Amino acid sequence: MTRDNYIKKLQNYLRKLPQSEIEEITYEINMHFEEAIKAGRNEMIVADALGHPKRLASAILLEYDVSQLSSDNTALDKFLLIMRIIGIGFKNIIVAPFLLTIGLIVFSIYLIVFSFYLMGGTFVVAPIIKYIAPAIVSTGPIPLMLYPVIGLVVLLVTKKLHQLLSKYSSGIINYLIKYVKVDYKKLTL
Amino acid sequence: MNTQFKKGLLDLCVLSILSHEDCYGYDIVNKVLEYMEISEGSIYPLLRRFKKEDYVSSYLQESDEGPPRKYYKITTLGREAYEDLLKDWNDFQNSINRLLEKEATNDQR
Repeated sequence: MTRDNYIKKLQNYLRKLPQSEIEEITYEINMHFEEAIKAGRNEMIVADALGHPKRLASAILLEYDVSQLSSDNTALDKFLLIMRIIGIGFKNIIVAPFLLTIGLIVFSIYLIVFSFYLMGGTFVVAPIIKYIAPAIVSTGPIPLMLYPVIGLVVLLVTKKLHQLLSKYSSGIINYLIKYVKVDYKKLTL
Repeated sequence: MNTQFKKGLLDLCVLSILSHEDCYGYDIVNKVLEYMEISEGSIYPLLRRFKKEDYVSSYLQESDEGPPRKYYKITTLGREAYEDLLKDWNDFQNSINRLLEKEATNDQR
């Protein structure tokens, strides 16, 4: 691969980074070629010795992803943060099993909470649905007007659980971030 | 040598090189290559990480020919990290040596 080709490929793989970062990396790799050629090395050999541009790019991107994690540590949307941690895990086979397991456990607990919200909500609006479409609601032996009451209790309990989950998942998320940070150092190239 | 093992040690090696003098990227690559085989590109993500963690700072300096070189300089924080890593490495090396010696004497029996 020629020098121009190498740099073009590298830039293409790095395109999701901010322009300034891409320029910085390009300068560095360009200088590497510059020095190597000055020392009498063939540019094709230098490109080979640098490692495939895709590999170099993924090491840089991984490093970038992890540095981004800490900058929005306070992100309210824990859900997305968990997904991103799982995403980083996916990029590397070594941390993936651990991150996937913990990440998916937290994720499924969130889904359970969500389904309880859904259940509570459905109970609350049960009389309205019964009124609109009597055929699809079968209330059984429980009086219809009791459903909104049960629904409200479920919603309140779920809200409390949600708060607890948020509190504890912050701890888990912080731990995950710390874990990724320690471990990813071994992964870069 | 095992790649995972090398990756972990590369941090220590680069910090050690920079603790003696300021270097530019290509210079660091060559210094590391004298002692171990690495993919030359692997130094650059590492240097970027060091910079983000404030282990090193960088400055540009004119060279005789061509564009200015980017030099890396170790910071106080970088020196502390270096001391820690060095201690870890020495401890690790000692315990492995003890293990190997013990196994060797067991074999002789």
